[in-house]
Amino acid sequence: MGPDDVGGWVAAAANGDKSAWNALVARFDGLVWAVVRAHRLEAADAEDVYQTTWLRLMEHIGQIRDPGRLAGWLATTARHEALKAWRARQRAAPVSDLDLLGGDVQEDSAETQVLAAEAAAEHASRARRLWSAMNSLSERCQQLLRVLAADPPPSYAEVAAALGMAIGSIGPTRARCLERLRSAMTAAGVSAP
Amino acid sequence: MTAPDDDLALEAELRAAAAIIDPVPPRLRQSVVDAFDLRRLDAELAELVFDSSLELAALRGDQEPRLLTFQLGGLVVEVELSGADRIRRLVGHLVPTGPQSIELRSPQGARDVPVDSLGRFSTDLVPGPFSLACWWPSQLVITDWVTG
Repeated sequence: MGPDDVGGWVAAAANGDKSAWNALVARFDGLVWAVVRAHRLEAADAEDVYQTTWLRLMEHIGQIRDPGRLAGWLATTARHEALKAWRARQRAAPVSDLDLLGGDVQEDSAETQVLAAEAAAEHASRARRLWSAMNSLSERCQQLLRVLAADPPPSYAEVAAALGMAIGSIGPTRARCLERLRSAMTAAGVSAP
Repeated sequence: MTAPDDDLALEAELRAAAAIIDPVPPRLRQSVVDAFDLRRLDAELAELVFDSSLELAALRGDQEPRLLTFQLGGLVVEVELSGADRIRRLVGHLVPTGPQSIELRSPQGARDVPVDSLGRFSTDLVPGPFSLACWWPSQLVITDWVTG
């Protein structure tokens, strides 16, 4: 894949170019997934929301006027669908049945497979402890840090759309949450990078 | 005060951890890449104009069934979703009548569903997002994707 050409990819995909669509998915699905996961959906709901977000884009892509707003569109759509799914799940299963605020790494099979394969690797072990430290923070910090951990790094505009935050509050909240993460890491005996 | 570089370094380490612990499942990414094959360039989109799950009754827990209305001008697709999780049923009708079949689209693919002379149809539905393609004489209409 060459350098980013979001405008070119949008135009080409609108005309039916599948390789352009592939490029868009590769470029932005890190962000979409991070937004979905930040909203604490269980695995099946997370996958549904991820798919619905991309399928919505697929049908609306001919109407995207400003490619610069595409990331924000995706983040907003993912958040909207995630909230709907989360509310529907709350009605079906009370909060107490869902480990939304637990400190453990989420246990779905893909993650377990990766960890098993890399169990001996020190960096995977450290990653797991860093992740646990993140999951011990407040809900607000977990959400923000999960979105910030998207690849490639999201802009503050994208973070704002992803979490319904005011752009001006992101910088200070990020600094505060990273400091709290450092404290949690220290408490857990994980050294700073 | 922590240097900005330290914050960036910690964030980068979180990003690397996310890639190990919680990446996008490859088959999930592939499913949306492949879904592009479902796209019909000549179709117009019927937006979701009513969703009973967003109404007040739903907040009280009156869940079943879920009613959805899609509309494009004078063309309407009404759908009723029932069942839970893995076993769902979709029942609906078209206004006006006319099409003798519609196409049920999902990340798993597309298949035809027959429509009777009164515009009614029913089918089982797999979990996940779905969309209906309806061929009226005037217009091919696609309903906007919805997660059941």
